[in-house]
Amino acid sequence: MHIKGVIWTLGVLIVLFALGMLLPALVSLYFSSGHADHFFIASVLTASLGLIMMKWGGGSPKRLSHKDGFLIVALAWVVLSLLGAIPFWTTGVCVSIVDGLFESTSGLTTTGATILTGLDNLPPSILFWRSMQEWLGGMGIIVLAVAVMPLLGVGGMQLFRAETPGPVKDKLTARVTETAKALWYIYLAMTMLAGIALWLAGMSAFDAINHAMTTVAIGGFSTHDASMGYYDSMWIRGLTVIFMLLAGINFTLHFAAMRRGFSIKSYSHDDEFRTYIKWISVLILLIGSLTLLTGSGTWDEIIFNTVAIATTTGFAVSDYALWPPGTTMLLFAAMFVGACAGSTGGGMKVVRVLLLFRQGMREIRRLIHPHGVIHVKINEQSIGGPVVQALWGFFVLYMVCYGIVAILLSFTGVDMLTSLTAAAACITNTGPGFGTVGPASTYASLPDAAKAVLMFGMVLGRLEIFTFFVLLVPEFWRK
Amino acid sequence: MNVLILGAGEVGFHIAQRLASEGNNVSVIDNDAARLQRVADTMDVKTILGYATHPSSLAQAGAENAELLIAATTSDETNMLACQVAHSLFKVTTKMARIRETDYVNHPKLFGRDELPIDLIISPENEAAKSIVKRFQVTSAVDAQEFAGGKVQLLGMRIPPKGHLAGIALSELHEVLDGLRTYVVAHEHNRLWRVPKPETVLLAGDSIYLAVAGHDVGRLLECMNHEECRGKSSAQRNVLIVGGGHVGYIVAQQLEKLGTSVKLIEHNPMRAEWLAEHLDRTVVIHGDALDRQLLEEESIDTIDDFLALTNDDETNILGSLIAKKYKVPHIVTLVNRAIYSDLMREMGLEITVSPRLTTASAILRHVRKGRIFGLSSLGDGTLEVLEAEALKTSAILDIPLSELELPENAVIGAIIRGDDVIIPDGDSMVEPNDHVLLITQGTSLREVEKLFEVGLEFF
Repeated sequence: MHIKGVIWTLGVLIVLFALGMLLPALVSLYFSSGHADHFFIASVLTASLGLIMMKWGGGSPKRLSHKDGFLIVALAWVVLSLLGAIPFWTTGVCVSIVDGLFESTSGLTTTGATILTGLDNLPPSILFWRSMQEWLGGMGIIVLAVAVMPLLGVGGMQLFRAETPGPVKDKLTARVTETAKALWYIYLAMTMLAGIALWLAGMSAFDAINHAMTTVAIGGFSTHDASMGYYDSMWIRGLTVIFMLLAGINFTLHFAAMRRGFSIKSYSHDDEFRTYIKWISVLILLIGSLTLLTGSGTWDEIIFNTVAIATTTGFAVSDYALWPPGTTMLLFAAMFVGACAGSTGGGMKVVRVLLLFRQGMREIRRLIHPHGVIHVKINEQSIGGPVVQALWGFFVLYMVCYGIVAILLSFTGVDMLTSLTAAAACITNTGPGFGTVGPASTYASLPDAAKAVLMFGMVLGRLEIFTFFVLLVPEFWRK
Repeated sequence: MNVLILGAGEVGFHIAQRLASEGNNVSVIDNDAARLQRVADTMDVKTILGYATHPSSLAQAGAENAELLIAATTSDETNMLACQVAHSLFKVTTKMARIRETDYVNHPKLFGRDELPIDLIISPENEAAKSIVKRFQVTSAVDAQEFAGGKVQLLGMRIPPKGHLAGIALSELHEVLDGLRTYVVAHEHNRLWRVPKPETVLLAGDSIYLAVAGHDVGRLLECMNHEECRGKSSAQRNVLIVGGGHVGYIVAQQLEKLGTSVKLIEHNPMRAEWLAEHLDRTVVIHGDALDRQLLEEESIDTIDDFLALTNDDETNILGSLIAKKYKVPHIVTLVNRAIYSDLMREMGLEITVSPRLTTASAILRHVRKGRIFGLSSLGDGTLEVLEAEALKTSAILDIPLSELELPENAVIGAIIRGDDVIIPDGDSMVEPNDHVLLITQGTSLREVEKLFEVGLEFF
C-alpha cells in the first residue's frame, strides 16, 4: 500500500471539491443574499487541507494498487461528506453538528433525505450547495477526478473500478481517462438538457438548474418543502419523469447509443434496459390500479411517485404514504431493486436482481435436466461462476447490512415502521421512507444517534457494500 | 486436367479418388506421410510430402501447369493462404478452398480476384447442416434438394406399405395426387436406381424422387398424407441432437430460429460449456448419447426428431438405432464412411447425411467440363442432376417431349422459363433460353453431355 500516494490523491479530490464550493459563493453574490463569505471561508479551509495533504503526499504516485483504489474511494466519501458539511455549519442553517453532516452525506450520496424544513425560505446559496453536492456525488467526483487528471494515469483504473457501481465493469474506450470523460460529458449534457427543458416548461431559472442537477444525479433534493408537488404543471412533471428514467439507465448504453446516432436499437437490445422498463411499467400498472380503485390518487401522481421511488430519486408530488398498503409495500420493494448499474441511481441495481433471478431459474432447470449445462446469460453472454458467486455474496451482505442498520435504528428508540423504511431509504440512496420519515415529513425528528446510523448506511449503499467492507478485513491491512 | 489437392483428409481423399477415376492428373500434398501413403496405395495420383502453403511444395507438385487447386486441409487459414500463393506465384486458374468458419463465409467481400483469390468456398459442415435443416422442414421426405434458387425441388421419399401410392403406375400418379403437377425422375426398387418409365409400378418399400415446383411442396406433402407430417409444425416439434460439433452447432442454431425446442447432447465437457454459451434457447446436456438413463431422463420417448450428428459414425448409427427402439418418428443419421451408407437401409435407418458426399458433389459440379451449375447426385450416387440452358440453335426446341429422343436413362424433370416452373408432361416443349433440369444415370452422363453439346450449351 502507498499511504503517501493515497493521501496525495485524496488531497487532489479535496482541492477539486473546494473549487466546487466557490460556485455557491458566486450564487449568493448574484442574489446578494449574504453567506458568500461563509462559502469562501469553507472553500479556503477545505482547499488548504487538500493542499497540505498534497504537499505531505509529495507528488503524484507512480502507481496505485487496487487496494489503494478501495482505500481512496472509501475515504473520499467520508472525508468529502465531512467537509461538505462546513457551509451548513458556518452559515448556521444546521445548528447541530450531526444535522450538518447528515445533510451533507445525504447530498453527496444522492440519497436526498433531509432534516431541513422551510426550504422555500432558505438562502439560494445553501439550496444551490445542496443540489450541487448531489450532482457531484451522482456521477461520482472521483470519476470526475479521473477525467480531468490524466496524471492519475494507471492508478485511475483502480479508482474507477472501486467507484463505478455494477457487477460488470465496462471500459467504454481504450483509456480510462477517456472513459471517465465520456461519462462526464454525457452527464453534463443531460443535466444541461434537463435544465433548459425544465426552464422552458415554466420553472424559474434558479429552480430549473437545481432540479436538473438533483434529477439527473437521481438525488431528490428540491428547493421547496412540497418537493415537486410545488409545481402543478404536467409539463414539469412529465419532463422530470423522463429525465429520472434517462438518468436511471446505464450510462454505458447512452454512450453506445450516442456513437450510433441515438439509435433506439442499442437500448432495446440490452437485457437490463428491457427489464428496467418492464419492471417500472408493471409497478406503475399495479400501483395505479390499486390506488385508483380506492380513489386515493390520480394517474399523473402515480406515475411520478412510482418513477421517483423506482429510480431511487425520492421526489414526491403527493403523499404516497396515504395510498393503500399494497402500493407502499411495492414502493418499498422498488427501492431495493433500484436503477440500472452504471447509472447515477441507487439500490441493488436491476442487473443484479435480474441475474439473481436467472440464477434461480437455472437451479430449477437443473432439476429438470440433471446433466444439463446451463449458463446464466445476459445480453447473450454467459456470466461466469465467479460473477454469480459475487452476486450472491453481495445480496447477502446487502441484506445483512440493511438488517443491521434497521436494528440499530430501533435501538435508538425509533418505531419499527420508521426503522425498517428509513434504513431501506438510506441504504438504497432513495431518500424518503414511511412512518415519521415519510414523503410529507423530514428526518429532523430522529435522534442524533439514528442519524449517525443512517449516514453510515448511505455511504455503505453508495459504495455498494464491498468497497467499504474490504477495508474492515484484517487481510487488507497486512503487508 | 491437372488438379492439385491440398490435404489428404477425408474430403481430400474422396475428391482425389473421384477425380483420378475420371481420368484427371491429380497431385496431392499433405504433411502427414501415413495419410499420403494411404492415398498412394489406393489410387493413381502423385503424392508430395510437404506444407500446403509453401511455394516449394506447390512447385514440386506441378503448380505451374495446374488448372485447378482444391485446398482441403483442416485449417481455414492454411487453405486461404495456399490459394493466395497459388494465385500470385503460379497463376492457377481455378481455386477452391474448404472454409468452415462461418464468420469468414459471411463476408463475401473478402473473396475476389484482388482480395483473397478463391473461386469457390466449400464448407462440408455447413452444406450438411443446410441439408439437415431443409429435410427437417419436409419430414415425410427422406431427401430434399433445391434447384434454380428453390423454384424447383426434388423430393426423395419412400412408398409406405399402407399408403395409397403403393401399387399404382406412374401414369396414374397425377390422379392420386389430386391433379398436382409432379414428375417422378428417379425410382429405386431392390436397391437399383433408374430413371422410370410411365408404366413403372410403385411398390411398397420403393423409393422415388419427384420434381415439384417450390410453391407446391406443401400441397404435395399434404397429399402424401404421411402420419408424421400431419399436425406438428417446426415450432411445435421436440428435437434431440446428439453431438455438438460444427454440424450439430449450426443445426441447433438454425432450428432455434425456426422456434423448435432443441436438446443437444455433447460428451466433451469443454465443448458443452462452449455450446451452452453460444446457443440461446437450446438445452445443452453433457453426457454420453448411448447412456440409456440419460436418454430417458431427457424423455426420448416424446421426441419427434432425433438427429445423430457426432463425428463418429458408430455412435451416430448406434444412437439412431436406440432412438428407433424408442419409436422416434424421424431420425437423421450423419455417416461419413461409404461402407456404412450401404448398411443403413438394412438397419432401417432411412435418412442419412454425408458431409463428404455433399462436398464432393459441390466440388465436382465445378470441375465438370464446361460450366454447369446445379449438378448433384440422387440416391446412392448413380443418378446425376444437371441444369443447362437451351440456346436458339438447340435441336430439341419446339418438339413435344414425348417425341424427343433422349438417351436411355435420361429425363427432363422440369423446365424453368423466366420466373415460371413447368413440370413437364408429354406435350410440353422446350423454348429458347429455357433452363432444363435433366436427370440421368452416371454411366450415360458422357452420352448426354455429347448429345447436348450440339444444341444445348452448358455455360
